[in-house]
Amino acid sequence: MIPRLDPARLDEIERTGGKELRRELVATFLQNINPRLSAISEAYASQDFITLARTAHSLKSAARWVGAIQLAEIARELEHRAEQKDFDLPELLATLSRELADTSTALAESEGR
Amino acid sequence: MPGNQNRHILLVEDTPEDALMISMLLGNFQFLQVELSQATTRAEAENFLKSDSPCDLILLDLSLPDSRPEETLTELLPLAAPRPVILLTASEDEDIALKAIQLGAQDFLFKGQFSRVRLEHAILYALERQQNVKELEVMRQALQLSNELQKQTLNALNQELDLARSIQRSLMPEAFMELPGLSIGFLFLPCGQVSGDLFDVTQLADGRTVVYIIDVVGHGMPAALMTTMAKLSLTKHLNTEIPLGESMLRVNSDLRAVLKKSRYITAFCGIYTADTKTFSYCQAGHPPACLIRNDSTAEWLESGAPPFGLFDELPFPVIDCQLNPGDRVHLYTDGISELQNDDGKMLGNTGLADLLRHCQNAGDEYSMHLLDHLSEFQGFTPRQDDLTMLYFEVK
Repeated sequence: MIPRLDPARLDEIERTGGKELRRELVATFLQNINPRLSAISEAYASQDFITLARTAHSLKSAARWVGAIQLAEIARELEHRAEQKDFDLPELLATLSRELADTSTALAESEGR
Repeated sequence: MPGNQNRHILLVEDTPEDALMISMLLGNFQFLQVELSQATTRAEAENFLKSDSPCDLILLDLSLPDSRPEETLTELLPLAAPRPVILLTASEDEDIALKAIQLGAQDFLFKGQFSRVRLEHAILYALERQQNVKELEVMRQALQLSNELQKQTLNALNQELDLARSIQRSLMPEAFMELPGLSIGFLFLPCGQVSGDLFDVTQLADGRTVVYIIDVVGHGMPAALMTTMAKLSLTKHLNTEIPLGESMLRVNSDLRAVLKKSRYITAFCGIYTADTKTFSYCQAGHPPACLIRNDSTAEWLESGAPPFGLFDELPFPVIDCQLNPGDRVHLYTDGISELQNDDGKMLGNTGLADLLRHCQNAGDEYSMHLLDHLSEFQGFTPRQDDLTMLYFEVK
C-alpha cells in the first residue's frame, strides 16, 4: 500500500529552502484545505467542471509539494474525470474528503513535532 | 552568461504552494538575481504585460481561475512576445506543453520534477536564446536595409543605362531611308541595353553617300562610350573631300590616342557615288561586306587592313567596286556571322551569303525578312552578341 505521506519530500525542501520554508509550505497547505474542499463541493453541486478540474489540479500540485502521495493521486483522478465531464463522482469526492482530513491530521502530527 | 545579473521575472501562478516554492527557488539562484512579480489570474498577467513594468521572462502556469489552459496560451503568449515564456506544468499535461512550444513558448518544466539548478538553467538558456534571436533580428534588418540600398542603386543604374541606350540609339539612323540612287535599311538588336556596335549613313554635299559600321571589342558601357568616340572621329574625317584611305588614317590616329592600345575597333567604311554606281570601300579588321548581285550571286568585299587603334603607319587600301541596279551590299558585325544554332554550328560567311540570297523582300520589309531568317537559323540558342547590319540596294 502507498504511504499517505512521503517525508522525504519535505525533508528535501527543508534542505534547499530551510526550516522556515518547510513550515510556511505546510501552513499554506493546511490553510487551503477547507477553501479547496468547499470550492470542489460547490463546483460539483453547480456542475462547473472547469472550476472542479482547476481546483483539483491545484490541489494535486500542492499535495505533491508536501509529499501527500495518495491525496495527489485522488486529486489527479478527480481532475481527469472533471475534464471528461464525468458526473458520477460522489464516491471519489467522499474518498477525497476522507483523505484530506487524514492527510491534514498526519501532517499536523509529523510537522507539529 | 556573466554572473549576478538582475532579471525581472513574472510568475503567473494561482496555486499558493507552487508560488511559494518557485519564488523560493528563484530567490536562491547562483547566477541570476531575480526581481519577482506575481500574477494569480490571466487578467492580472495581461495588465502586467501591457504595462511598462520591467519583465525579461515569464514563468507561466496554464491553469488559472479566469482562463482555460488553451486560452491562457493563445491570449498570453502573443502579449508576452518577444519575452521568453517557460511553461510550468504537471507531468500529465505534456500534450499541451508541447503545443505551447509550437505556439512560441521557449521551454516547459514539470512541476515537482525540477530543482533550483534545472530552473535556473532553463531561465538562463531561454534568456540567452532570446538575446540571440534579438541579435539575429538586428542583423536581418541590417541586411534588409542593405538589400534596399542595393536595389535603389541598381534602379538608378538601370535608369542611367536606359538613358544611355536611348542616347546611343539616337546616334544611329532610325528607319529605312530612300536616298538618290539607293535605299538603305538597318537591323539593330543589342544583347544588353547598350551596344559596342554602331552604324551611320551621311550624305556629302557633292551627293555621295557615306556608310559605315563599327564594332568595339567588348560589351556594355565602356564599349558603348568607345562607339561614341569613334563616331565623332568618323563624322569629322569621312565627311570631307579627302580620299577615303587618308580619312581612315586620320580616324586611326584619333582612336589610337583614345584607345591607348588597350582596345581596338573594327570598321567597314564606304562611299557610294550614285552617278557612276561606284562603291569605294575600306575594311579595318572587320568582317567583309557581302554583296548580293542582282542575279543572286554572292561576292565578298575585302580590302585587308588592321583594326583602328593598333598600329600607327599601316595604310588603309581602298577598293572600288562597280555596282548595278538591284545589287545589295550588306555591312554587318560578327554577331551575325558568328550566330550559333542549336547544334552549336556557326552561321559563317557561306551561311550568311545563302541566307542573304534568299531574302527577296524589298525596301522596309527586307530587315524583318532578314531577322526571320536569322531567328530561324538560331533556333532556341540564346544570342551572345549584338545583331547589327546596315544594307543598301542600288536603284
